[in-house]
Amino acid sequence: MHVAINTADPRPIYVQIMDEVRRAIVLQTLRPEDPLPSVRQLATDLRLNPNTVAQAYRELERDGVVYVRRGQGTFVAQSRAANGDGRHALARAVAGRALLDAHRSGIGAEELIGAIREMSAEDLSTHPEQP
Amino acid sequence: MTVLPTQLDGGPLAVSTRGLVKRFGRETALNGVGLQVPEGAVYVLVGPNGAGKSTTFKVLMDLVRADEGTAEVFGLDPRTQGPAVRAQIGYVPERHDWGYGWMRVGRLLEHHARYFTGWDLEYADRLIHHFGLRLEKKFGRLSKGQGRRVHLAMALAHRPRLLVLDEPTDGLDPVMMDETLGLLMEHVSETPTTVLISTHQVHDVDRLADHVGVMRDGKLIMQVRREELHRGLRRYRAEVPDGWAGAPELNGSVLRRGSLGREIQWTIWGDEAEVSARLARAGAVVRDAAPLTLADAAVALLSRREHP
Amino acid sequence: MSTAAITMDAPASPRAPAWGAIAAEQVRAVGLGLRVELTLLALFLAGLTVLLNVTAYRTGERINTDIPNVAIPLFMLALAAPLAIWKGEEPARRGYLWAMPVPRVEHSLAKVFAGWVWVMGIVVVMLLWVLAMAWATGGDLRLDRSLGMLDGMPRGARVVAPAMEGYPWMWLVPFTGATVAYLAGSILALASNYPWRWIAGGVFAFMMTAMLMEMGGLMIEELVEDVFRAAATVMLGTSDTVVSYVDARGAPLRAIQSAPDAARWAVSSLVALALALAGVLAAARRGEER
Repeated sequence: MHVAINTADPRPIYVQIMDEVRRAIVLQTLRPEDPLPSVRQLATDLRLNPNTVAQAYRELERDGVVYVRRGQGTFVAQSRAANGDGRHALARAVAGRALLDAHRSGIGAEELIGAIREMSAEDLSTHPEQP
Repeated sequence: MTVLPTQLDGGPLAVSTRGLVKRFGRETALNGVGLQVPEGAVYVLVGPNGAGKSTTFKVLMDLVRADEGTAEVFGLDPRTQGPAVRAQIGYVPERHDWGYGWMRVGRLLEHHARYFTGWDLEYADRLIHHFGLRLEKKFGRLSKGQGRRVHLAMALAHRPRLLVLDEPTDGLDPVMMDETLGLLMEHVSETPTTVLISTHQVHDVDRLADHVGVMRDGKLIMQVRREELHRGLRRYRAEVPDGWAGAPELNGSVLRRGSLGREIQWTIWGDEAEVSARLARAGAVVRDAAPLTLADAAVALLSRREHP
Repeated sequence: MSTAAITMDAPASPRAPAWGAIAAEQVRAVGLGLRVELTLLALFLAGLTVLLNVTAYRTGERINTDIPNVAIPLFMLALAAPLAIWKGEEPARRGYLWAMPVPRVEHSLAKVFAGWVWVMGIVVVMLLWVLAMAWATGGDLRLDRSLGMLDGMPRGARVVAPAMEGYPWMWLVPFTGATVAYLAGSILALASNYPWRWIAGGVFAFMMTAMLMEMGGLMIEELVEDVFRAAATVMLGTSDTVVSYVDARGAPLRAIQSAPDAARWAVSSLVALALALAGVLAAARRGEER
């Protein structure tokens, strides 16, 4: 799992970690029963405060996305939260960011949706092999 | 006038100072500093050179005696229980020539180890390897960055309860800095440690900090949890009508103002909903209320002309 | 693993290092710090050995062991040694030594002690060297000092120094004298970041006063004679010229002016040692925890 953190992102770092884990699950780069990197490893690799990583893992555990096996580490849960719901939650998060960005530029939701439709149609015509 | 938070609530404190005042001749280096570092925190003390960060740290090590006020490290007074306090601190000082320049690096580490009974030889070897320390070199002949790494190894290898790091990344090149921060975070993951870091290059430590103190002119003008800073300090972008008279309700609480045409960009400390409402009541249309990076926050807080 | 960073079980304060270990480490570290100086000293002695032996061989002259004349350079060395021992420490700036997790007064004294061990080592080596030189050239042990200081020596007269055998305690003089000088230097090193300035300033002030007094027709010795006598006793075991001289045929012309006096030396040395130690303690207390 590759976790990308950006300190300029408006989301707090622990939320970014959670979103990255959710994204990996949706993309199936992380599957149920897969281990997450240890707090120590993630903190070391990303130069993050281990408390922040632990907080993200705790919140993910509370949401039922992951579970902790004593002495072994954190694993992806075999639950709906980790799959179907996760997908939906991720889509909402992406939409939320787009909406925020649109609002910043003074663009309404309908206008944004229209633009998205328009662009994905163009995308289909130029790359028809993609769904 | 916005009052910036300077008190942390709850939890045991690793470091706690009250009303520290220190004068050097006519200069006032510290002017009532009340530092509160919770146990287990990674506390970043931000401020320009000469703000009093190093002096505060030296008070904790009893290398400087405050004229007024008190300090406690794990409940001990550095003035009367200095040896016990210093035994629990891994200290990286501001100065690069700290230590014996005529000793070889390996010998200096050995010397240091004899004073710290908690010295972990195996870990020291690992640090030497990771930092790429050249043991046979004379300590005094090292470059700034190499010397810094020796100091860091000296501070970490006895696994102290508290790390007091005064500009620990000063003189490190970007790659070394990145690796050093990784090592530091690995250390904190493995060993229960409270970390107090001072820096004027805030960007380097943005990812590490969970508590932030901002110092200026010998005063601690703000002390908050990182999340609180993230929530409370925002850059508002809003459209305003022609000839807009400003937001009287926000007078005195705007830390930084900017504008482009009819869009204003104000950095404000306060509850987001409340600030947005006040801006709206003044006729502005808020487009965005974005949190700031630590570096931007530091600039906003430190460039204020007046502070409480 | 993940909880390690969150929960802080308070570990007991680490054990304090043992004083024996600290003192031993200081002795080793000070020796290491003095390596350059000690090497230079050894080279100087080696050079002097060659020079003296060659001269003695050529002229057939014997070298007599000469404690007071060895003592004077030794004391200067002992006085300056603390400046080398405390280099880089900068007491007033509270450097590295003061950041160590040990009580500071005792720690400073441990370092003073470590330096003293080395200074005593230098004294031993110097005395052995002098003995070796005397042995090599067939000389013997003498109290031989200030040959040029006798006025009115008739032509053809020859100086005869008293032998050391009568004064075995004179062997202690270089040790106690060097200790006093070393402690005095340590006071400067502990109390000031700029001990060289104090030494230079002291010498300059002394010379200026001496010059001014001489212009006024007064000798500084006359004014502070007692102090001078006491100092000479501490450093050299005697305050007087201890030579006699004989005429060309060997008949004594003048007796020893004043023989070395063990009691006077012991009292002066004890007073000087006590004063110097008190000074070192006072200087070391600057960093005391209160």
